[in-house]
Order: sequence, then C-alpha cells, then structure tokens
Amino acid sequence: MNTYFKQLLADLVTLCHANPSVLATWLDKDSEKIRACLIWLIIGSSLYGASIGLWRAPLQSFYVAIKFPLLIILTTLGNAIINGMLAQLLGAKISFRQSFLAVMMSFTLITIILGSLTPLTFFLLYNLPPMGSELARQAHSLVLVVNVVLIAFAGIIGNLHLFSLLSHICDNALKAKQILFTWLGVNMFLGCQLSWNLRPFFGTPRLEVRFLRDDPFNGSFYEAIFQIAKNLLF
Amino acid sequence: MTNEINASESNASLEKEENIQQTETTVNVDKETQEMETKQLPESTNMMQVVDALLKTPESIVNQIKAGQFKQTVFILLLIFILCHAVYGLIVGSFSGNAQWFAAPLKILGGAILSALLCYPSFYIFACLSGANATPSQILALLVGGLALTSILLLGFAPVAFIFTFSIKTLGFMGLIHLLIWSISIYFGLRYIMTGLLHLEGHKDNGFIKVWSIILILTLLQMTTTLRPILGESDTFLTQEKRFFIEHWIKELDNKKTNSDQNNTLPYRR
Repeated sequence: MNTYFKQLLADLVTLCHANPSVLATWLDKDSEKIRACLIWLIIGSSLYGASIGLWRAPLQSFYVAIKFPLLIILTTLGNAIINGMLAQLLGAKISFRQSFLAVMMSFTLITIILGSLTPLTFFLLYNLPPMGSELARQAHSLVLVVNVVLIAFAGIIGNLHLFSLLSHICDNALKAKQILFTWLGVNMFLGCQLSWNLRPFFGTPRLEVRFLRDDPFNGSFYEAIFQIAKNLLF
Repeated sequence: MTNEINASESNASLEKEENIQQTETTVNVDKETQEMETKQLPESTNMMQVVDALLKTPESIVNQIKAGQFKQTVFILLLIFILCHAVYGLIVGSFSGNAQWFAAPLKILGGAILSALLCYPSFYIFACLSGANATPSQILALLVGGLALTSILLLGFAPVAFIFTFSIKTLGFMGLIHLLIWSISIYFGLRYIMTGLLHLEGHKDNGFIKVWSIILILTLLQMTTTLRPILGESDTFLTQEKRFFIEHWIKELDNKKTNSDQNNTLPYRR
C-alpha cells in the first residue's frame, strides 16, 4: 500500500515535470497510468470544485466537488473516439488509448494546478463579503472573475505541456499544433455543453442550492449564447 | 586580395551547404515515397484492419487500389459505410423519435448512396481530366474509401451528437450541430480522395477534383432537402414540394424567426 502511494506521488511529480520524453513512455503503460491520472484528476478537480461552490453555500461546495470531476471525465470519455481518430488522421502514430491518455494527462495537469491553488481560493473566499450581505453581488462577480483567470492560467499551462508531448510524439511541430487545436476545439465544443447540463457550478445567489437544475437537459449552451446575443443586439 | 580569397571561400562553403541540404531533402523525399509505396494492406483483411488503415495509413489502401487487388477491401469499406451511416442515422432520428427512428437512418444512408452514385461518373471524368491513369473500378474504390472514412468520423462524433440531441430544443440548432459534424467528417473524406488520386499514376494536379468536391458537397446538401424531413417530424415519409436547399434553409429560419418573435422564445421540438 505504502509503495502504491509512493508510486502515485512519483507519478504526480513526473506529470508536473512534464518532460515529454518521459511522458511519452507513459503512453505505452496506458492502463496503469490512466488509473494514476484518474486518481489525481479526481483529487485535484474535487478540491477545486469544492472551492468554486463554497461562497454560495457549503452544500453547493459539496455538489460541485462531485460535478467538476464528472464534467472533466465525461468530456474526456465523450470525445475519446473522435480525438483518437483525428490524431491518427492528422499523422500521430498513437492508438485510441494513447490519445485518450494524452488528453487525460493534460486535464490531470490542469486540475492538479487548480487543486494546488485551492488553499488560495479558500483564503480569498474567507475575505469576501458573504452571501446575503450588501456587497454580495460584487463578491459573486469577483468569484467568477478570479475563477475564470485561474482556469485560463491552468488551461494554458496544461495545453503547452500537451503541445510539447505531441511535438515529441509526432516529430513535427506543425502536426502537433494541428492536433492540439483540433482536440481543443472538440473538447471545448462538448465541454461547454456538458457544463451547461451539469449547472449550477458557482450558484446564482437568487436561486436555491441544487445538485442540478430542474431541467438539466432542456436547452443547450449554444442556444443560450444565441439568445443572449439576440437580446443584446435586437 | 585576402578579402577576395575569403569571399570565394565563403561562397564555396555556402554552395557546399546548399548541396548537402539538397541531397538531404532528396533523400528524405525518396525515403517517404519509398515508405508510402511499400505500405500495403494484406489481401485478406478484416473490418478493424481496414478502419485502422483508413485512419493511420490511408496510403496502404491506395497502394492496394493501385495494385488492382482491392475487391475484398472495397466490400469491407462499403460495409463500414453502411453500418456507420445507419448508426449515425439512429442518433439523428432520436431527436424527433417516433417514425424518424427508422426514417432518418434510411434517408441518411440512402441519400449518401444516391449522391455517391450521382457523382461517380463526374468523378471518373474529372480524375481523368486531371491526368490520372486509373480504371473506373479504381476510382469507385477511392470514392467508397472516402465515404467510408467520412462515416467512421461521423460515428466518432456520435457520443457528442447524442449529448446534444438530448439537450437541444430547437430544430435549427440541432441541424447546425449535425452540419458542423458532417462538415468536419466530409473534409477528411475528401482529403483521403485527393491524397489517393495523387498516388495514382499520371495525376498532375487537384484542381478538377476540388471542383468535383464542391459538386459532391452541393449534391449531398441538396439530398438532405430532397429527402426531408430527416431531423424534424412529419406525417409523410417524403415531401412532394421541390426546393433548393438554401431556399429551404432560409424559409425554415424565417418560419422559426416568426414563431420565436410571436412567442419571444426559440421554437421548440416538442
């Protein structure tokens, strides 16, 4: 057991070092490394998820700690086939499992970064005006902005590391860039929709705390964006 | 004098470097061509091997077509094309349910086959015009390969389409999502066809094939209007009214705009 935890910690360090030649060898030991990535992904994203919902209510924090890992895992699983196909078509000599693991490693790194920032976000939340106070609206906006910045930062780092891994695998920066942007596009496309289905995450102050909205499969992220744009323009 | 000697020495070294680079490039190109030519599928293949080859080494299928030993592979490609289109059709049909569970797969598969048959003669002629020295059966094999690859990608997108099907309320948005998925898939299918043609003897440029690609895309899009409704509900299997697909889209969007203006919402499917 002790050895297992030591190995798990060693995997975390390797993932953070993000040495492409080392990570490329991970792709051959896929099932073992998929498990390690999954564990760290759940830990990192649950911790960060808890911090997202905490300002709204402790119950919301608990719900998001479950939903945030679920969102990432569902996005990765939902796109596993198409990501593998696109990588192969764009010239990467990797199997479906390997492309799945590469995407998973990138998401794991992102969630580890976010998880490591959780104490700081807790500290920020401690200093914010609580729900029900006069400045609650401003506090809610600040929570949103800070989290968007953190997710963007972690996302950039994770994708830069994925790019260096892909460049190492493909031996060609152009191919790696093509694959990275294709994966990004496909993952964002599904990820946005799933985050819509699994809402609320931050928890709107005027709505009650719920695990899912009453009608989670009613409507889509893109329809909502269209409606907002329409209201703004016309 | 010393300057002249230095200049001539640097020129000589530059020429030497250029020669080395040229030789390296030639060697690399030769190596790549050799690799491509040696890659070939075994004569008896199974479905998974063909799918794998389509995604990873499409040139191995093209080499088989070039060698003229492609009967079994084409049969498998056709099977892949039918299966994947049928499965994707089921997902399209699940949006409206009821009769569309059967109608959508049938129409999607039938529409793709009809479009391919309609475009096949022009594909052969355009391939010949671009200099390809190929038999009609080789061209057919390429076409089937391209469409099979498109269908494999459609199947790859199936989980994504499935999630959207259960979330999206409006017909227009669902249509847009399917159009987006189909556009990405057909792009790779056409890319396979163009790369395949480049490997065939005598083929000079892809200009004619690019024109043909536009013809195929327009035919496929028109087919979705001819065989409508594919996504929405209807009392009849086919509509008698004739329409051009752009006109149909504009009319549908106009109808929806009027509905949504009246209700101040987007039109719903149920």
